Amino acid sequence: MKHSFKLISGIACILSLLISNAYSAGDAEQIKALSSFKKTGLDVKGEVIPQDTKYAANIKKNILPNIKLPQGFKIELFAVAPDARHMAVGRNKGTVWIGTRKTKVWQATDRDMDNVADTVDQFAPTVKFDIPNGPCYSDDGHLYIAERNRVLWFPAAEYFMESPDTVAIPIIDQGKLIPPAEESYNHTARVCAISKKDNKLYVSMGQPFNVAGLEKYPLYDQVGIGGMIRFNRFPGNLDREVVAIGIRNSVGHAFNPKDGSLWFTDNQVDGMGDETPPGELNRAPRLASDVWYGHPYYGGGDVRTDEYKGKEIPAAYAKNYVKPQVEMIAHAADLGMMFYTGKMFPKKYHNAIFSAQHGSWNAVKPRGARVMVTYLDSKGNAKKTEPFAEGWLTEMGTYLGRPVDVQQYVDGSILVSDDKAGVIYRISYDGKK
Amino acid sequence: MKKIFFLFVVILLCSSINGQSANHSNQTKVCSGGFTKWTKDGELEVVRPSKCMTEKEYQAYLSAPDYQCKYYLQSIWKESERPYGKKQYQYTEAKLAKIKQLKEEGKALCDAGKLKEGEAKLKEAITIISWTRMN
Repeated sequence: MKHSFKLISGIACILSLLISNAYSAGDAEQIKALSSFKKTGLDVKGEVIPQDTKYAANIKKNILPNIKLPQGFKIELFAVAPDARHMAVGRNKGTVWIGTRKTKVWQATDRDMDNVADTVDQFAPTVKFDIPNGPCYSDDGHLYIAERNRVLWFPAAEYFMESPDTVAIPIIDQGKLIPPAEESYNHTARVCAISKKDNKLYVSMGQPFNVAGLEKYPLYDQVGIGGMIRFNRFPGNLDREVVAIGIRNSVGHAFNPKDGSLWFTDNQVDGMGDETPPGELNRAPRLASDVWYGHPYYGGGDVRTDEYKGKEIPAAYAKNYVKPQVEMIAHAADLGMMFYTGKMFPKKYHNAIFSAQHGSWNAVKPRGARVMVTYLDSKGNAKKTEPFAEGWLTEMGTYLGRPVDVQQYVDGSILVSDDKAGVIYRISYDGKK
Repeated sequence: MKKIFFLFVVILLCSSINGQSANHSNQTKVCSGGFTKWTKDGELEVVRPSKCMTEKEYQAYLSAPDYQCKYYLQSIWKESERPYGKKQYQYTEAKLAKIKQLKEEGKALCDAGKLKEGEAKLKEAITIISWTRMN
């Protein structure tokens, strides 16, 4: 009997190890060396993306003239970066780190300071990234990258970036961000941001269903799946906490520099109709594990999901329900967002939110593929939302490009990533303020 | 008298502009289903051409009594039958069979004009899809 128990335990242990490494990056040895400020000894050269190419010239010719912007603004090509997703902008060298939903992170650097990237190459090629969608950069010079199931810290990334062996230290080890059994590819484009209020890292974690069943929620609410978590951004006591629940799939968040409040986009439910439910832009009234944003009972805005229609919303959720600040059009896929803190743009854009709509994938009438701007009122609530840059969607309903993220560049212009064309655009203002 | 004439002209102009605008809106093309990709040289290649309708036709499609039936049927096909959609979910054979059965029953009811009953069956199928983990 004892032997059987041991055998079963042993198999269970091996199975759990296998499962826990289901999507393991498989780079434990490299990380061990890199986190000890040592070389990996691997003969790896990072991929270099040529910039002065026919591809770049044709993107300038075929996309840029189609983009409509308010008067005084112009759009240019900043960099060619395949599969470009979320971005982080360095404060010293102006390097832009660009995540992908694949296995690479790019670093784009404007070395001669003419606001066009001169070099775009693979960042930290000795690290085996797994969906490294979300880079974020701290004011004190640290880069963080949120992957599918790991968060890495790259201290002084702007200096170590020139070597294939970049110092890389896990903040959350492989397999510890979420239980490996909950891993998926869809709804796994993680995003991170650092709050100036508490100096912590905030990471969003989409839930891996269109609409999850109730049985998933004790675990999801506890871990922060379908929600957001925060934790200390240096190794040691992480003090990990869930700060938001009831989110379906947020792929963009930022803090209002004026009042420190957390805002985030949320992609809403599929399969309910072409024009319903709305996408969301939310503002967190407080950061706590009981603040609930509606999913899975609401599909977006005040539209109840078909799966939960007629079911009573548990009191613990209902009393802490937060409605969205802005209901965006249905299925536009609102992704990355930022607050504008620069001085280049006219005053009306100061402290406004710029957000990217990736564009629909399943609507009869295609929509999105544009950059939106949301103005706030004196109390820091959303006042008005309108398109800022559009034209990536053709009259024929096909996409020239699909904007993913918006980030402010060092000079106060904004960068827009596009994972269809695989490029970064720079939008600047040269009109009268 | 002049004032009345002026008012009449203003009303006429406004209604004409509104009419033109509505007409323009109704004639706006709604195109979908197309797919393009960039070649390695940066040329936009049409992989699949779009199909177009007018805005008026789109609005008629949305407000048709059998809209939900058609929408749900299309959604079920996209998510559980079309190869690209199907491979996004961790379906079991039993789940796929149940979805197919509900789809067929729902379609038969919709075709017979029993729209609410048909929609209910199709929603059941969509619920199975919703509650299936994505890959």
